[in-house]
Amino acid sequence: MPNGKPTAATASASGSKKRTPASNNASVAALKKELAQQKAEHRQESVESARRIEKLEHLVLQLSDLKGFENSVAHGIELLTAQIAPLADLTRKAAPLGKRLEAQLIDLNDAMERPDWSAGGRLPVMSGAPVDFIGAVTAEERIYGRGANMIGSVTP
Amino acid sequence: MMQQLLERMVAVGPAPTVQAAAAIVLASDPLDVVLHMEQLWHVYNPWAPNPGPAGPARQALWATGAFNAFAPVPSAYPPWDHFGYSYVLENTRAVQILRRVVREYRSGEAFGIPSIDTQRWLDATEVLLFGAANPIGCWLSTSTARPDPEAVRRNAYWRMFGLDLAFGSDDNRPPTYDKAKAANSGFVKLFEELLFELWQAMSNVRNQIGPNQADDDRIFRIAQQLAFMLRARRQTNLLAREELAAAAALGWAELTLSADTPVVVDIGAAATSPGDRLRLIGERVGLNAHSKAASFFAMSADLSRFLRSIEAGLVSSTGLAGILYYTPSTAPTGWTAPLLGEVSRRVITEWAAATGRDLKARGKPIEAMGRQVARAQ
Repeated sequence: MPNGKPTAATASASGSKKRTPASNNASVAALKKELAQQKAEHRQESVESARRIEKLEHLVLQLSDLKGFENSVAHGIELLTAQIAPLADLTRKAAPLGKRLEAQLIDLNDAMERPDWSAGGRLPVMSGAPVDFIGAVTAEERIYGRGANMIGSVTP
Repeated sequence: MMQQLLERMVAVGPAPTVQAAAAIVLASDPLDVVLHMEQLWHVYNPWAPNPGPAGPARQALWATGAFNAFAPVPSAYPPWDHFGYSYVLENTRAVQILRRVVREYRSGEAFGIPSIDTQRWLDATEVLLFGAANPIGCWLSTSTARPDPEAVRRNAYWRMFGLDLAFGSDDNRPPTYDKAKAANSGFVKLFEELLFELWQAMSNVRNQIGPNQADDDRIFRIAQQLAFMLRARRQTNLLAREELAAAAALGWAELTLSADTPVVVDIGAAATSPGDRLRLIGERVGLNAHSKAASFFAMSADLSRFLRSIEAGLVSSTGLAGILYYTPSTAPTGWTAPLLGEVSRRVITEWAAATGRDLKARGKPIEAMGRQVARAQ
């Protein structure tokens, strides 16, 4: 104490000696309050972190699922390709007929050609003239028809 | 044989229409028809490149026949129908029904007085179908060793297809004929398998996406196997003479029923289709026609062409299987020759209708390699 005035340190030391229990309680309460606030903030941060982690996990899971689906599709296509590969040989491969076979087919068609009977109908009568009884007409009339003479012309 | 003759008659010119040509043939002298058969037999020459079957006397004789001008051009195929044609037409029971018509007309007047054209038809029918005496035996393949033409045909059907007719004799007794030991008993199974595969191919002919059930390789293999089977009975052109006789007989029956011919009109059986005419005639003579006669008539010509192409081995590789199912509208580029898609389609439809088998649904698949020759039961 050079000028007789107390320094801050001595004042503090003398002040702490002079502190009352009420003022101590207030500072403890303030400290507690501060501690509680810090705890609450920490808890809030923990919750938010957990939420972020959960969200992250969810995203990771989603990505994982997507990969599985892609894998399934790709695998399915590969499987299908392998399964239908033999069918590639079943596509129709028509060979050219060639001149000889063409001739054979035309020949077959010509040999078996037949008329169309879809409109059958009634056939024309080939022998439609009435037939006379035995001896009922003369020889000329039998040959040339009724009213004919020996040279085949019809008598007027 | 008869239908092809009509076609040539219309093409050459003496008959303006098929009806006119049919009227000429049905009223012709049976000897002229028989001479024309001789001519066909020689023109085809079953033993080519060896000399033909007719000697100079016979050749001179048919040159005097009414149908000499209508000889077919030489071909790799016989100018008559395949046994398949005769088989399905005979299954209608047309021959047995016409036999009763002939018997009825020849033995009484219950059917009324036949017209002159009907009497001509009766003369020819007795020669062509029932073995009446004729200056030339018309290659009917009958003799004292095998007198019954129907038995000869049954024998041939059995050997070619392993099939019997759906009925017995005229009086419903079991048929009696020589059942050969060498017969194609596996024919029907293979044939129906081929029809199934062809239906699959037709169903998918325009299919560009999705599963395609067509199997050209299987079609080729079955067709090849059928060709082997049919050719096994045809070595050195065996059975060709019987085939011509059967085609002539059944061709005559078909021609008789193709329109309201004189005999059909005289009996009172005028109708609009061969099946209906046969049914009405059958009712008149007391012998029912096959209930599926309409299908048999409808497929006869197409089945003939189909079996000829199979037997000729036209489908000689997988790439040519389409010959049997492509039509002009679906054929690949460059395939301009006449194809058999429409023919196959008709055979599938009518064979299914006649047999009652669903050829559009797969039964149990069968092996293409089966025993070709079976022992008769």
